Amino acid sequence: MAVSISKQDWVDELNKPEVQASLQKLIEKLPDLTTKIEQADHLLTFGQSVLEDERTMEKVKMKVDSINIDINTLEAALRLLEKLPLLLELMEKLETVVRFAENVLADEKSIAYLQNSVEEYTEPLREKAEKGRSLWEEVQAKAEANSQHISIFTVLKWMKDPSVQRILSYVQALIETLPKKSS
Amino acid sequence: MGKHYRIIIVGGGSAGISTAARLLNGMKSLAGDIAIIDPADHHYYQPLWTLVGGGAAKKEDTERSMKEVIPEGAVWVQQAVASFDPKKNEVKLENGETLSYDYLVAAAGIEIHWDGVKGLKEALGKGGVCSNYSYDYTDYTWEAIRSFKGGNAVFTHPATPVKCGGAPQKIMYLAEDHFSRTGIRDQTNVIFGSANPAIFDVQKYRDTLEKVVARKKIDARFRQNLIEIRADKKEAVFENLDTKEQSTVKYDMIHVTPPMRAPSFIRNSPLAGENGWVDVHPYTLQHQTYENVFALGDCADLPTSKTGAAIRKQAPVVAENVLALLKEEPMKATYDGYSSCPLVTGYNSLVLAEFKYGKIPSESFPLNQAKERRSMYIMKKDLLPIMYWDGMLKGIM
Repeated sequence: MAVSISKQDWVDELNKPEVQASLQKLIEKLPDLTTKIEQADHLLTFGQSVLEDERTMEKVKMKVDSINIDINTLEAALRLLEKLPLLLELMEKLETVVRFAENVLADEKSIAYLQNSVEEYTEPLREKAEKGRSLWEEVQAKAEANSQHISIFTVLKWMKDPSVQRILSYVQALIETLPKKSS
Repeated sequence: MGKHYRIIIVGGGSAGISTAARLLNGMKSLAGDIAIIDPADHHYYQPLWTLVGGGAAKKEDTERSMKEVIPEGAVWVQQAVASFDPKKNEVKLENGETLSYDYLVAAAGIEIHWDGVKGLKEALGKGGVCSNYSYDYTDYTWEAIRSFKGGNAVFTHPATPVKCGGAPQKIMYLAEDHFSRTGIRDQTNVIFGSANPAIFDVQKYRDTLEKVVARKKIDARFRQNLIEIRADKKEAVFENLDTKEQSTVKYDMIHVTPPMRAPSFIRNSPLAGENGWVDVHPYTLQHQTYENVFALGDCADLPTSKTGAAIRKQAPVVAENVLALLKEEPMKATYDGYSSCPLVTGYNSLVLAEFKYGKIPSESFPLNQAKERRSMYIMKKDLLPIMYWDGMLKGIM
């Protein structure tokens, strides 16, 4: 039910000190409020002008048309959002690996230490290879320098050599074993 | 009144540096507002000292200048701490200056009590008396092993907590291996005088190590605590911790693991508990009395083995919890007591012991780590130092 307010009620209301204080504050702030309302008005006028400007709107429409956002994109974005905690975890692990690698590569002392370790492990292999190479070079030099005719008697003489006998015993063992394995 | 920092870290060792790096990684705005107080000029990768003593690594590779390891954004205060006033959030330095903080991280390490064994300090570094627990003497250990001609080779483990509890026996296994390779093992008695009741605390690895001790014919004597070195007579005096009976062992070389304790400025401070170590919660690493104080590493009173590997797991917990408090969020990170001991059992073999509170194995690799493996030895010697300098000290590993 509506309650009618008489003139006297208004006068009584205006006589209240707190109402008078509020009115005073409102009046004091009026210039500031007017400025803000004007600013909002400018903004609205600008918006309205943009909307009315066909060429600008055409350009905006072209921009929107060139963005290939459809329902699939939105669905993908939502699924990505769902996966973000896991992706973040993976990215952090990857970041650790990348930063560690960067630190190692920038650390000359660590690189030298690693190089030294690798050399330590490869040194025995290198020595073996070096030994094999010098042996082959010696054999090659001797063979090339040898102009002596090799007769069947020379071969028979070699056969007495223990190392040749050892090789031949391997050949013999191979000849005996192979047929058994293939049968 | 001196300068104020949001975070003060006492100690620029493994714990202090890695915590500072993690804090700075987590909150870039802390740059210039984290102070690391440490008087040292150099920082050492101590886990490699065993191999230095065994002649399998160069000691120069274990040393870097403090300037090289202080993280960018941290302020290095090259001073020693004189005292703490946690009620006023202040640290007093030995130069008389006082610094104040919002949060304090105690990462002060451990103090080697060379005077804890009578005659040790005077005897060290000559006459076959060596110790891997000092950068200056690690190469003398190798000299003592290399020049050993047979007789009694004695190795000791004290009756106090030590940094890397496996180190006292690792050097013994390396020495024994060297004696075997050089043909003098038959003329050598390898004696292990240990204050501990067994070769290792964790049952799984103890089983393996007992077999190693038996295979290497090591004379292991438990509950024996070294109390004196008589260098003139080449005698080591042990006390039986149960019977208090003293016995004398002649030595031709002796590797001593000295007794250790909390640094005096920690031990005598309000931060210390009854036993002298910083009284922190075993899971959050927050001080039991002062909420804005944390501790990690060797100086923290934690019921686990004091190792660099333990620090690797403690540093993220301290950093995350301090950052949480800075952001006025609840602390979430907890430490499970993880520690690790790569037990070198010879040149090219290693048992990688990993365990947590309760001495429960907590292994990283999908294989039986109680087995002696060459791969683990390569990891310790060649990969872990790189991971330390370029991963752990940078706050990313």
